[in-house]
Amino acid sequence: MNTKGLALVTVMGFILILSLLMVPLALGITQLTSSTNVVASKIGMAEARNSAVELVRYYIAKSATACQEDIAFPSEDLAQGSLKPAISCKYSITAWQNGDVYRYWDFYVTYTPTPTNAAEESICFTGSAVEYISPPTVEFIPTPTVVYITHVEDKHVEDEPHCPR
Amino acid sequence: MKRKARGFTLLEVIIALTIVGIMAAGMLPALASLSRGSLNSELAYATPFVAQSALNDVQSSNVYRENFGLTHSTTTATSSIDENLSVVTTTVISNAPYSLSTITSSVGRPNVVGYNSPQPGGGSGDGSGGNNPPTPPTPPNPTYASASLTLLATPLITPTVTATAIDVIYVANKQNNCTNDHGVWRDYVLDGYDEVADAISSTGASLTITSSQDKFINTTVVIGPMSTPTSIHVSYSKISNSPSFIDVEWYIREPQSNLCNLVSLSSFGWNILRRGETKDIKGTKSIVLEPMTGWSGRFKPNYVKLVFVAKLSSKDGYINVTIPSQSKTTTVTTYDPIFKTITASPGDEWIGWDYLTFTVGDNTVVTIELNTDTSSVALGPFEKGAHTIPLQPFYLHKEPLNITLLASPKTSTLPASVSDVDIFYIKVVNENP
Repeated sequence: MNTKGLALVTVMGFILILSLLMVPLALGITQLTSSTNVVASKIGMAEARNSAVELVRYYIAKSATACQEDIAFPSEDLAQGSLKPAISCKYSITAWQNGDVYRYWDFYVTYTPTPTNAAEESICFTGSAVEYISPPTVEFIPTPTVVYITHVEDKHVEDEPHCPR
Repeated sequence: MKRKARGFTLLEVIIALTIVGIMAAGMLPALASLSRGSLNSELAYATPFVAQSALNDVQSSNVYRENFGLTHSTTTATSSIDENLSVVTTTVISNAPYSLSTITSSVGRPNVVGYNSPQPGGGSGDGSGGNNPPTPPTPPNPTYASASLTLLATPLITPTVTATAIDVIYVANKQNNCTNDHGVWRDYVLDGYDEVADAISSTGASLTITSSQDKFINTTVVIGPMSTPTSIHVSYSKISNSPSFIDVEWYIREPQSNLCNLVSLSSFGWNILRRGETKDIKGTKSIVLEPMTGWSGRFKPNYVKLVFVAKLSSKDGYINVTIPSQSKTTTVTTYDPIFKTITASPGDEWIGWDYLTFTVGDNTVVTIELNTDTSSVALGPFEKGAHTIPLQPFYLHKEPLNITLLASPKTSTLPASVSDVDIFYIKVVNENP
């Protein structure tokens, strides 16, 4: 029986088996690298959503007395993208007996990721808010407007015509 | 013949192990690269989380910083829009720098537990966030006080308008200048009767409708304009004993510019103010059509239409209408609405408008308009009494505030007034103690 080269074949078999065992490891690392971009994108969008809420809170609190629809504002730049807000007062209630005023707003904030995240598409953060303007206090301390964000959702910019372009 | 199986010789095994060793040595760099790639991927994967934790000042594990040198820096910048908006940016130094920003607003926040947690970078919190310098000690809160401005020292009183009006002018049918005699100032004497005998004659302040024979009278007299309530005296007389009756219908109407059009409407739209009696008449009697409640106050009848329906059975019967002389005049004083705009200017210590006070007098309705360069508010109406309007709900900016008062008299013959207009504002007492 000719057994020449049997050891070589055996060794190569071992090497093949070892190589196959390392494939899942290499693939895992590759997958981890690609999912890193997704994580960065999601975190960037989460902070953009928080920032959008704060922008809306600011603009509502600083809005004029009259209930006005479709008010657009300039963009605000973030490291991960830019935010372009718009607010729209839908309804106002004045309780004159105690001076309370309630105004109901819809808001639309378009988030456009920076060019480094060009693969991402723009997102429109839209929702509702209630503004409460409290009466003056007895101690003459100015009482600020309080804005309650009641609802926020993400939409495609194309699906929401009120979103700023 | 059975041949005994032979294993590997020592030389073969050594050669095989050598080959395996050589090939494994060749894979070592690849394995090392795989290990570095794995670490880089891990760091890249962790970078956004580290940045987000730093951005929100959440205490995270120091493993990445201590073992892998993953450091971050956080900066807080005031937004170009307003000082109440701040942009916080964290940059993590990793394989590739990664930056993440968030915006915070210092206005409009609900006062909920946990909302006032330390801000990123120790900007407004306790200074414990990240590697940033400690926050300087917070200065004592400024104290506020109320101050006021007197905007209207003397009462605002509506101006008077005096007019002299002719009290009464009367005209009778067939004594008018309207061209369409068929449609206007119609002679209400029925067909078939002696129209000539129904003619109305006027003597001084009296109108007389006479009858020269037994006949049926149905005629109309329009009297006006009247600026004040005026009694109209109607008297009649019948000597014979035959049945007779008289019916005087009294209409009024608001003034119209064209007297002809007024009358051409006939009785349509005229309000029956008073209806006289219908009965058999004997001898000489008289009726005084006295003005009713509607004649006083704002409502003036201006024009009165009298419709006489009568049957006088003898030629000596008559109906006599006596009204005041047309030369009588009356002086009428009325009060027009008045508006006044007052400007309140905020001073350096001004923080915000607090409230507006004013007093509304009798017979007065007041509306108020507040205007700044950027906002406008309409308030009212307000009636008699002292009023206080909170201004803080309107969030009027630090701009001159124009306050326009419009005072209107409820009854035009009585004056209206507004007084004691003061505006209160909040000022800082010790902004920099």
